[in-house]
Amino acid sequence: MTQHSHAHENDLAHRHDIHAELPADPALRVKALESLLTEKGLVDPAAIDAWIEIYESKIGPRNGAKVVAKAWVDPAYKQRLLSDGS
Amino acid sequence: MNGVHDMGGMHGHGPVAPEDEKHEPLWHAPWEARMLGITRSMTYPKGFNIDRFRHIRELMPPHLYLARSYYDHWYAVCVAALLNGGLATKEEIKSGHAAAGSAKRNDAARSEQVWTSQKTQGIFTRAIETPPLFAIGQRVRARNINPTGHTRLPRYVRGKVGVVQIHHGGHVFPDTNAHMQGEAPQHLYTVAFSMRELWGADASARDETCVDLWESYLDPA
Repeated sequence: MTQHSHAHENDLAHRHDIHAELPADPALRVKALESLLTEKGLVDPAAIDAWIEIYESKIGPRNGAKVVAKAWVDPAYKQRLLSDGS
Repeated sequence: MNGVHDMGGMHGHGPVAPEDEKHEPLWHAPWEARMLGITRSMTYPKGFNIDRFRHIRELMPPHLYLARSYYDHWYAVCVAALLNGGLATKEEIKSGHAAAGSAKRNDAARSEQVWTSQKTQGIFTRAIETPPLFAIGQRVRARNINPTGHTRLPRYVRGKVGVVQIHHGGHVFPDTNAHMQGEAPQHLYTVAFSMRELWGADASARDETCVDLWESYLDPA
């Protein structure tokens, strides 16, 4: 794609000057977005709940501390982590 | 693009105020959690990808980008994706309700798919046939390029010389992927730049900044 058409595309990305017409409070905007997407079948609220649950219990610093502590005492585990941290 | 997001080296934004690690909440308000869940599970326009998400984020009007918090950026990107992809109208976003008579889809991601998505999405390594152009320890110069599209080459390393530290193998090239022009994988390297090279004689003599850079960002130096 040429530089010119990127610039054109860039101008279009947020072309709907919608943000000035929306409430300032993100809690209200996000609630409205979730309602809309649910009505349109573009999101399943149970899947939103499931993502939050995963981030609260399976992903993040709590689990990370356990992983590091295990690597201190388990050399094979440490090697596995170093070769593939994901 | 040389956008508001590429802030490395800028002055005047005040001190960085990290939160106390022990007491830092996962979410600062319940809406942040909902926004994360929406972003991870909503239906996007066909061909949408994480690089496109990042590019739309950096295309936010600068006054909004600077004033809004992290998950509020995600809100702006999701709204832009929905509007530009024809999945929702401005009136629907404003009202929070589907227009009368609009069809309801039944293909949204379900809760039982979430953990599989987490385990399988986000893998951007790709097999690549061509041998790497650069070796570990080799001096390279970041190209002075100023594309109007998406790039992961920050302004503050352009034209600067660094040393290849790690070769990561083939990775999806964000500069094409963000524009839905294909993954076009390239070799990815971690390049170490001395702080003196980046910021001049007043900078620390012993510190360096490591930046992950795709092969086409680099020339031999």
